[in-house]
Amino acid sequence: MNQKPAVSLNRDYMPTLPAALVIGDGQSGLLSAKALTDIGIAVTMVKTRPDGRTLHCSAPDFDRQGFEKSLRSVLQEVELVEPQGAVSMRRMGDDFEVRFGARNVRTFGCVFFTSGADMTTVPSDLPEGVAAVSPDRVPAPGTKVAFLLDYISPSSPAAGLTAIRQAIDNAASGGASFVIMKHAPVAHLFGEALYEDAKRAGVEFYRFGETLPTVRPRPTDPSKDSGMCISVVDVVEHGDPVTLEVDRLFYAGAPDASSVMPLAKEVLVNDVDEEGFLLSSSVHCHSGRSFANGVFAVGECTGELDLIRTAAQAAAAAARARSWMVRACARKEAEAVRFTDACIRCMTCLRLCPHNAISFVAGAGRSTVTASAAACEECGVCVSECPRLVLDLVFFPEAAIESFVDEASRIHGSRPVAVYGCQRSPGRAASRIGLPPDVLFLTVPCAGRISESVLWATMAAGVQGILVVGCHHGNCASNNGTDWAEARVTAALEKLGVPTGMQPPVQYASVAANEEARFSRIVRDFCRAVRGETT
Amino acid sequence: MDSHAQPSVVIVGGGIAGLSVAKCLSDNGLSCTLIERENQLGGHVRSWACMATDRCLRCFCCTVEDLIDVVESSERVSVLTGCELESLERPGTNSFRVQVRNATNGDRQPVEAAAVVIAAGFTPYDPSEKVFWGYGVHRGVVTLQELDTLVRRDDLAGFVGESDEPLKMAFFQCVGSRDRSIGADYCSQYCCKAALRMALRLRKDKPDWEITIFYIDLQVAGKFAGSLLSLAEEKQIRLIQGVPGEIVPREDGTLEILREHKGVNVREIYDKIVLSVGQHPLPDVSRLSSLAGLETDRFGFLTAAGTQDPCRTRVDRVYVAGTVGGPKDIEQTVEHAGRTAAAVLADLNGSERTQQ
Ligand code: SF4
Ligand code: SF4
Ligand code: SF4
Ligand code: SF4
Repeated sequence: MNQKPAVSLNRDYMPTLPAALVIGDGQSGLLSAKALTDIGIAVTMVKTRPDGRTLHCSAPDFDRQGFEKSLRSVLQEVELVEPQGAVSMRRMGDDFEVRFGARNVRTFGCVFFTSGADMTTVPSDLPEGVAAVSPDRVPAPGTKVAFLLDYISPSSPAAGLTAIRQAIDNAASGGASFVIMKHAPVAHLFGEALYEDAKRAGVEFYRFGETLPTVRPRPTDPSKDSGMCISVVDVVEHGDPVTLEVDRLFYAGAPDASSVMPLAKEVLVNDVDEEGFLLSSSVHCHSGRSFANGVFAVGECTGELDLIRTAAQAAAAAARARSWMVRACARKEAEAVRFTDACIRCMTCLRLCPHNAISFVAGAGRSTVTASAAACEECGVCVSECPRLVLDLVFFPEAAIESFVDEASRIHGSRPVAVYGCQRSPGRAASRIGLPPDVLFLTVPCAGRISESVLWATMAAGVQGILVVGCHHGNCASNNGTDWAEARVTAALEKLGVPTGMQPPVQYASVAANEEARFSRIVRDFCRAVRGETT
Repeated sequence: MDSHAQPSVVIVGGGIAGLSVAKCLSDNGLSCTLIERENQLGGHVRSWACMATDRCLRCFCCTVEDLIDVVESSERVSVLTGCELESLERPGTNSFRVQVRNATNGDRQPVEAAAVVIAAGFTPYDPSEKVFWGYGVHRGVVTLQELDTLVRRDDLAGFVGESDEPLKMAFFQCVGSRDRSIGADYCSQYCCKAALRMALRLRKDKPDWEITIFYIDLQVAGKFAGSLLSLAEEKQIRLIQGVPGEIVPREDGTLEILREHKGVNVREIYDKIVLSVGQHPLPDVSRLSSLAGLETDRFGFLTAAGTQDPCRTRVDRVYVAGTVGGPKDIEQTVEHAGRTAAAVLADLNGSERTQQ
């Protein structure tokens, strides 16, 4: 492709984009580096371990050797760093300041975590000799092998499909293959065909239910081989337990969250899920995106073992990383949060910001705390939690709330109900329905902006009730803005001391943007309840 | 002023995939033209419901609202709703002339494009041909999409009536999927999760309903999806292996099914049965594929370059995004669309080394 590009990406924007840091040189790291260099971003890659773990792919047209070769070729285009000592990092304005050991300090425009999560952990209650399914470990041809899926917790479908693929190959080589599972993994376009192929190839499937299969070493000579006996109750046959004796048992599991890099968990505090993988279970954190703007996570460390999906994650994250850096360039001079001199540098805001937008700049005279206008999403969590009340949002200043409260107090004779709703969910829902005339609705950037002091001021204005509406938990675009809103409502009610059985004058609710009908019902019911009307 | 004078990326389809591509490309400084056949953006997802219980269950539906807002307010995206792709010519190696036709008034509009992304989506399977389930005949049998629309309108009563009697409801999985007899021997990948979420959503308001999911194999892996299974068990959703082969209406309007249990046939009565229908190719996918010079696979989905390059196609600068290339849930669609956008960026940036 030597022609002049038909569309120049850099036409309107900036000179050059800053470089990206990819932490991890396994397959996920290489996929990320390739996706980044493909769209013109320079990459520095940190070596984290000598071995590359192998992602699963069972697609019939997949050429693993060709793939691995082309993946390794990206190494010629990246700068490879072997850190001496621990790596640490922090946000510095729009960029990230990364320390490789004591001396080497560098600046990057975005960071990709791709390192970690062991894919080969076998549950400790399975006997020694049970091995994890891996694309690199093919059973000896012609042997009797079993694959165990969904043991204790559901298997990663990618590992399950590898098991089925290897079961077919083993059967074709004259061996006997058994797959013991709760659910056949078929969730790929080729998955059903692979499953059907396996049945045709003579692979035997056993489906267990409540009763977990039991595994013990084969009695013959446990010291000499890895043979196993597996007892399984098949829910389709409903018979007695069947005991299978095999030369080798492979376990298809899920990656081990405990092996995720601690640095990643430190930087992505808001993006660690219940199990300990990176990227939280919020709807906003997927395809490599995290709440910490400019930080991405790809592959096993996010719990993903599938090569096709990891490659998509890497490419999608690279495109997002690029647009993040474009945004950072465009908003260099912008201001999203205003700090005043009264700041005591307590770091509350820095600690609580869901988007990792705030940085601490140590200065010779006076150190300062600032927010990156590119990373800030204007959730207002910092504004509401700053103990010195020194912060304000530029685009949604305190004054906007004050004039809303003034309006409420002007018409307080009609005992209005005040509704605060974030723009993302209730705000959109409200735009599609009509609210009753005695309901005053204020759209705020995020429910996290509604501080306790806003609640007290609104009550003082003489309203009949206050309804604070955010996104559903796990759906807040600023991760915990809606949780903050609920906590403040609860705190206010505790101070008010509403007797049990009485309708509290302040209430929290959550809706989604597509729940206009439900939102309208919630507002109606609240108005009725605070006015003491019966339904 | 001609806003289309400068070459842009033409995206065919304004559902979640097309919107995601448009957002990603415009965020990166490219101009796009988004062509949508319907009069509004959003595709299927626009009529689906929120499945949140005491927390978001990650169905991803509401994210379409974010995307629509971003795309409609972006200076770089011009949105043509109520319009169809009529023809696609290639005057130069790296330029396309796309003819867009307004379905209402027949007006034609040429658009110059540097790349074309097909993100036209899927069609939900119509289960009427499966006469033994009686969809379209028995009043109590609906598709999951129809139930979604009712929940979206906060109007479950319109379907189940005002009575407070606890109801018995069942979901049948793999309807129109994993079915060789209709040439659909693939998993549609979203319906297990969608049915589990719907069951949990119904449970929130209807603690005393008996809700059963009849499945072949539950596909619930993926971030957070795994916990749907334990949630379902905790909330007493019955999960039963094997999908009953027949629905027989009874005089009182209830529905009778037979299922095998420990080798014997058991009769069960349900008030409502929901068919979790799969994703099928668009009815006019062959028109699209021949316009763009692409091929379809044996199921009828547009063929991409291959497993290692699932967003490019055999035609240079023509891409696929989302379910037009095969079934996906919303999360996978957004991910796939992100990869498509990255491929477009890479190719237009000229920095792309030829793959494979
Ligand atoms: S929370 Fe307030 S006082 Fe504390 S560092 Fe931030 S701006 Fe300064
Ligand atoms: S408004 Fe929200 S995103 Fe912006 S700096 Fe404050 S806490 Fe961070
Ligand atoms: S359940 Fe779905 S629609 Fe509801 S908030 Fe979560 S992602 Fe949005
Ligand atoms: S997702 Fe579940 S219901 Fe849908 S086709 Fe696959 S196995 Fe069947």
